[in-house]
Amino acid sequence: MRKKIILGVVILMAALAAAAYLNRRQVISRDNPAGAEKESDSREARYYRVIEE
Amino acid sequence: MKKVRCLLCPRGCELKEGERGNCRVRENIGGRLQTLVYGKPCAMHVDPIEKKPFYHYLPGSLSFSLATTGCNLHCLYCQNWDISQKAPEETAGREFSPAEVVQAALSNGCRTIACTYSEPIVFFEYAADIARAARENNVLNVWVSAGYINERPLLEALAFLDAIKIDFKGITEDFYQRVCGGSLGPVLNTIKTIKQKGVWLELVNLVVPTYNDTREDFLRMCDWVVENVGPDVPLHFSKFWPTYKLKNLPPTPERSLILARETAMSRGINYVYLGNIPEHDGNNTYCAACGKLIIARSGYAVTENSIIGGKCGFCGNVIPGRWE
Repeated sequence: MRKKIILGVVILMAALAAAAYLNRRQVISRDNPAGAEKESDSREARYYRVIEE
Repeated sequence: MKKVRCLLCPRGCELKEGERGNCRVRENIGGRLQTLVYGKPCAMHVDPIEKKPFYHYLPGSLSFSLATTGCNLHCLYCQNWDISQKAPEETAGREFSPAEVVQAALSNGCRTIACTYSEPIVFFEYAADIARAARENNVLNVWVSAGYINERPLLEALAFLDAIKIDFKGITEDFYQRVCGGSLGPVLNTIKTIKQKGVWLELVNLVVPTYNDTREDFLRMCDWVVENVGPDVPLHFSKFWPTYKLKNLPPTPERSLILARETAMSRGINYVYLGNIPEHDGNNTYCAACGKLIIARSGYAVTENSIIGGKCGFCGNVIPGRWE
């Protein structure tokens, strides 16, 4: 029983840490990155710069 | 795989391909930052300009008002959260080009086009093209914004704007961080830059119970206004209504708004207004020199106007603003 409680606490802390990290990134990820159809539905923004990886 | 950094607002979102910015409407698509809301308003209405509110700018006129989804702040009390805190695909909208916006403004007898309701900064490209098309047709451009923008795009916007109302949400860094998810410094810089560039400016402070409603808050805000943009910039204090994530709070008590107004007047601000309290004296304009009532308002309607040629009809004092 004690081991289950400790495991539960560890999982909870890991989930909280992951949530805090994702929130800090301040971006919203999308599961389905843009394809051709999306490109035709948008327009190039201004005031940005490319960061080569 | 190219990452991009958005330079539009102080967040500076760094985005991998397929990621969107904090505003929900700018996305890295194939290594280029794309706006997803160009030509896609989700709200369009013809409003009295007093609703923005502008009280010293073409009183009694109509403003063609529009918005897209998205915002770069996330105020817990947002009154328009159902569009500002949504992605484009989460709302119904229609295609409407800048030329069509201008045509709609003209056909509805609007002297201004207002980018409002959500945050014009995040649909910068669309708003800029609307403004340019409007100028070609002698329609004026106004924004209702929180002013959370970087200097370069701000300077570009000021070249095509005629008036701006800034939501001056609070006077502490803590308020901006805790309640709005932003920071105070860039907003203060925006307000000062607007004034320096000579674009007509009005300020609105939504008074939220327990968050920004102490006499100390009002004093600090009013002193900052007088020191940095002068006593003639109209300052509106508005009543908060419980909504979005602050439904647990009561509406702003009238006594808090009256305290705000009295504090502002005692610190030398000449034109102080109260919003969302119909039929209160705080809706009217009084001459800063002779104290006489020069514009009476009932709701958003102007019921009396004694300004003649930009001056008080009683004593001739120049009233700041654009009146004709």
